Amino acid sequence: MKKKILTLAIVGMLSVSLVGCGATKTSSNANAPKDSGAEANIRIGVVSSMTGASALDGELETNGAKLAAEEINAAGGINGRKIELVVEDSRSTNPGTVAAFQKVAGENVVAIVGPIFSTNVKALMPYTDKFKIPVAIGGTNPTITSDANPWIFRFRPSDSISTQVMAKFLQDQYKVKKVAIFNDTDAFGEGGRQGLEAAFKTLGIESKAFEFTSHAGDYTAQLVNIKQYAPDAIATYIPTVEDCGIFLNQAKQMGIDIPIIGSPSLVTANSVELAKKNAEGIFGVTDYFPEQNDTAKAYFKNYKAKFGEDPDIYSSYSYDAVQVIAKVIAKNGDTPQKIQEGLKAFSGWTGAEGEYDFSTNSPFAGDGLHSYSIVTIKDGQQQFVKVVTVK
Amino acid sequence: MNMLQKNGQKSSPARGLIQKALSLSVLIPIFALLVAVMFPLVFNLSSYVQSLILLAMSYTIVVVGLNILLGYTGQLSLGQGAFFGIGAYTFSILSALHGMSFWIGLFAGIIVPVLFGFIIGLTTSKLSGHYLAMVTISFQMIVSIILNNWRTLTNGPDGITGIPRPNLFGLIDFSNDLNFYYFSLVCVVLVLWFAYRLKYSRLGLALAAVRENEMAAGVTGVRVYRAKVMAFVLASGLAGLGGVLYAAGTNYISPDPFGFAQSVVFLSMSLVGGSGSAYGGLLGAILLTFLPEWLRFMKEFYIAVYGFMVILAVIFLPKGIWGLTGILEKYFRKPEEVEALELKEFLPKLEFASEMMSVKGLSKHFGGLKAVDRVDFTITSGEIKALIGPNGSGKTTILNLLSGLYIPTGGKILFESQEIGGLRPENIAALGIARTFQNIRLFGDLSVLENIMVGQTCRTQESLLTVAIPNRAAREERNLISSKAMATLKFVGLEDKADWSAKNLPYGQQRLVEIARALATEPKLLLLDEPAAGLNASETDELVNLLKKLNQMGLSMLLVEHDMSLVKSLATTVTVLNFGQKISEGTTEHTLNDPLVVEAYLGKEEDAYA
Amino acid sequence: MTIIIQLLSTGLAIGSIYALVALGVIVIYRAANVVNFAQGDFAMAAAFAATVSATTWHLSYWMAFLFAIIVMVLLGILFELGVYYPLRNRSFLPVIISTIGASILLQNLALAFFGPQPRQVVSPFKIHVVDILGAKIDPQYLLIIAVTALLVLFQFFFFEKTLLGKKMQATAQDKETARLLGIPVTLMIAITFVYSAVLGGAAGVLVAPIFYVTTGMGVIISLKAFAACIVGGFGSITGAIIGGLGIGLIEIFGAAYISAAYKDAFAFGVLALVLLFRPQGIFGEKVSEKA
Repeated sequence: MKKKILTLAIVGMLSVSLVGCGATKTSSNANAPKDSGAEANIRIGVVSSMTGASALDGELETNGAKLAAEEINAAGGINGRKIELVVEDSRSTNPGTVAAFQKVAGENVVAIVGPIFSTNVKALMPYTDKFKIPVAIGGTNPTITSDANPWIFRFRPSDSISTQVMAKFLQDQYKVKKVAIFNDTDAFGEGGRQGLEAAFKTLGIESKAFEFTSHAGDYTAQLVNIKQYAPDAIATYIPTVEDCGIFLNQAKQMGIDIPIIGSPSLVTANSVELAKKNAEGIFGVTDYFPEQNDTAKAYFKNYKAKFGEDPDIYSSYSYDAVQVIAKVIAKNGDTPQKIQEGLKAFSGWTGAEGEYDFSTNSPFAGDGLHSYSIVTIKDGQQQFVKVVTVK
Repeated sequence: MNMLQKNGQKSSPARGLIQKALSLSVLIPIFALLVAVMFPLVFNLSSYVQSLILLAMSYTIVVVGLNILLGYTGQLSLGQGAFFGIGAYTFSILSALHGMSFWIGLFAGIIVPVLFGFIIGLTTSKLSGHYLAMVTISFQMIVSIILNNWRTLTNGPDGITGIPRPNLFGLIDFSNDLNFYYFSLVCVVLVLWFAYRLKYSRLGLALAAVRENEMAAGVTGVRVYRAKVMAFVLASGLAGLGGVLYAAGTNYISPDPFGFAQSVVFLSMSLVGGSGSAYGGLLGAILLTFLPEWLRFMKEFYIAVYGFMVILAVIFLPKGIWGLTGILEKYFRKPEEVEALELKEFLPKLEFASEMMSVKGLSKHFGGLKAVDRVDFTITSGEIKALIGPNGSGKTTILNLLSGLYIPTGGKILFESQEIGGLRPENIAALGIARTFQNIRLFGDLSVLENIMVGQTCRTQESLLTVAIPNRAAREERNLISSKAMATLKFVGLEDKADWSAKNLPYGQQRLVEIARALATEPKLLLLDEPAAGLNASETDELVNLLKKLNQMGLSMLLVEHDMSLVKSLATTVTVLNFGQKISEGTTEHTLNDPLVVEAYLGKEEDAYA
Repeated sequence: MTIIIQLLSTGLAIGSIYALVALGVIVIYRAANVVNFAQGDFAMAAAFAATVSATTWHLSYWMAFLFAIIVMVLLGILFELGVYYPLRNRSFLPVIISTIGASILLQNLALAFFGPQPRQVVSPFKIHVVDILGAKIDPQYLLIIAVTALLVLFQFFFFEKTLLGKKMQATAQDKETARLLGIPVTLMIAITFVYSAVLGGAAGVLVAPIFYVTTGMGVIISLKAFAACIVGGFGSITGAIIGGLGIGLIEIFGAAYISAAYKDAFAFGVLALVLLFRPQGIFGEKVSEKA
């Protein structure tokens, strides 16, 4: 008898828990204000990795969006209506991203910002058509937009651009003939490697890739081989700051003295702090740098005032995204459909990341940015070199 | 849940069926199924919830597979994530990258992991425990690395997109999540059905025996190695199926969700839900898929809470949450009626006295130690021979050699003119040699009757197909097995303890159960290792009577003992060992008075116990 | 030649880290028959203790090291009480799983308390590179090798020559008899856990100046350490050390000459081969169950 009651209880528990999920959703809908009426907030979703392997970056992403929302609301909002951010944790995993995306999409948001990791972006792409809400992403893997998904808008320049910029810079500045590529074997690193190999080939530069797997810890083996290859420069695509730090330290130790240029993480404040003196004189491409334009300068000031740290690429794109979305809503209207159309035609505003132009959508469908800044590290600080634009 | 069949004499089959159908063990699953079917129709579920449910379903299948391996068979695998990934990738590569039909992809997505599971299973011939766990971990790590780096095959870290849903001649649109939910539901129900039936089938019993006590399982006739390989095959196949559903459900896969972390998640689901049953797998998968979602409000701390709950579950709920239902079950289970046969009816008949077993020059060396050194003796059918000698003289080693637990270093063992030295224990049991152990080796978690029924494994056949599809012949055979088991239990006088957990019996009764289990293998020769050890005087007398009766029925015995009064009451001949060598043999009377023997024991006689 | 020395020094240093962690695994295994999946996380915990104390109280590397060791003593005791003790009479399976759970918990507590930012431990050396026959070697690598060698010597001396060490050996070999001889078995096991935690912790603090301190740093070290244990012969102390060094060297040379992308696969590939063809490893003894 007791057994039967217990099993019934468990079955009941399961049913209730499933109901609970459905109920949570409906109740949150009931609480959310309807979109009609001038009082109602404009809800923008944010999907970022607040826990898990990329928790550091996720916090930054959310910060950028928060800053933008605050600035806009302080200036009176969008046609009098305030922006409300709905943030969900992607847990740095693909299934987590999909869950967060769908949860947020179901909560009456008109646009979604994030995520920044290319692999997470690709995981949620099959679901965009279900919700028909525009998504402002930060992932730089070129294949994201090659599918021409009409709901994906990239708020950072893709890696086909960053790689071309790197190659061009190395050739212009150092007249290199042979370059070693040092990349991670994940989606980001792979995209970088492919882009670099293509870009170098176009410019007639010989190149060879030396790979590693994230958090490998030690790069002696690769550095020994790079030394043997005797290149004129090294181009890196390293996603995590600790790997950047280790790489720079060990390269310096092994006496490698040639120019090094890397993807944005190499020259972020965190990475420079870890590598200290060994970061002196390295170059990096970055899509965000305070000196690169006026918005960027103002953003730097405001971010630092609010959060106490220097902003970087992880927050600048989400800042820009919210700003652009707000502008589009003000001009075109507040439904997801109208926002999407507005974004497609958007051009002429310079955000922290650079000048946005989504209207010339060929061949970079969904890509709004076409330039990167080159920075170098001098006395432990980032120093602006120049902006390189790719047509 | 009951092993025993209802065997009431007067009821018609139809009546029995209705009675069974109305029992709660059938009603509850049907109710749950109804809920599962109606639920999405009644409630309007958001895409978010739907995706989570699909995820939970594919995970359920994987975890049920793990349960078969871990909970049923006791083999720890930390590679379920790898099989999950191989299934997902095989399916996706074929269907998305090479345009093949969903069904071909599905089939391959199950078969390919099975091949790998088979290979890993083969390693269990040499490895177990943490070694096996390490094999599965290395396999897992290597698979992750290959999935990520073999770009031409798998697209590397970019992953595979555009993964198709099933296509049923275009009749149903499975890109609709609700329809795909029903498709997955069918899969889940079939898997649960199979796993549930497996648990209570004879194959399931064999797996449980391997889990409880591998050595005892072997000598009781269970094909241990085969069972482990089968468990791996089932686990990997189910993981592959789960992978296919996962891929089709999410439309995009990349190497990240198939790594070591995922294997740990599956293990957690198995442990928290309950690794011993199909329902435990279902519960664990659902709970641990939805828990992180419910805990979203806890932000950064949710995962510490999650880890903490896993530890709590392991420490306080060794059988998982579903195990809670089992605990009550043991106390309230109604004993079923089983009509017992007479033991005489199925023990092998003694034909005429002949040389049953002949051991010539048998040796067993462990490095430099000669545990058994060129020993000869014979056993005549129908006799009881005692094997005695001081501690360390090699008696148990000889029993181990005779029962297949050790491989002889030299010499021959002939049983009914067949060389059996080096044969596997289960083969020796099938030939008609059974044994009991000095330190009792019962299958603790199984009931007394189930322990004994394991003995029938070497006398019957069961295939996975029979497990999957119920049929009359199998049912009847199972009734026969229970009847025979009951017969041996009646013989040792413990038929009222049939439903007890073996580990709850007092020591003396456990000994009797072990003997009953040995009898269930329908042996011609019974090897007994110090059967009187730990028994008091009256229990010893009872044992002597029992063994005498068995001998009268035609059972030959080889008895290792220290209790000389027992030897005198039972044995017709005695062989004496010292330091691995035979020092005397002959009739009981003669040997026990042999000065050499007395000297070897240094005056120890019947007052000394082991 | 330069290249060989370069790779050799790195391989030995990384191998030493694996050996230290592997040693900690074996020591616990011999005493309590437990395979501790959280051993690598001991390294992580100590590294965090070192970096937090160094930044908060401006301690030198060596003082931070000392502080970390003290923390590990406490953690070893906690671990024994919380993870091993409640399960000490159960079969190996629940205990392994409990250590897996402890590993998850440690990592996520660290994440919750310290956040995801990688942290630094400043190297004790003023010079950044040592030149040996043309090879440029990080002095921290040399320190790792030296400290590991010292600890190994200490290990042999302690266990073979001191009474306490012999008592611990006795406990490891036969708890029941040790108890009968008046050896306080529970205390011995607790000391073993503490010793093992200190070994793991030392590995973490040694490696921190090079690889920084992240919450996930222990996981892959654990797995490679297990590989080292098995390759060397599970249960053998010499085996753990040789196995660790061996895996470190195989990894580095494999990455340099075969494929850097598959670097992790080498350790596991070797492990798989050993398990298939010589499961007792290099120094292990075949142990069969008594019937």
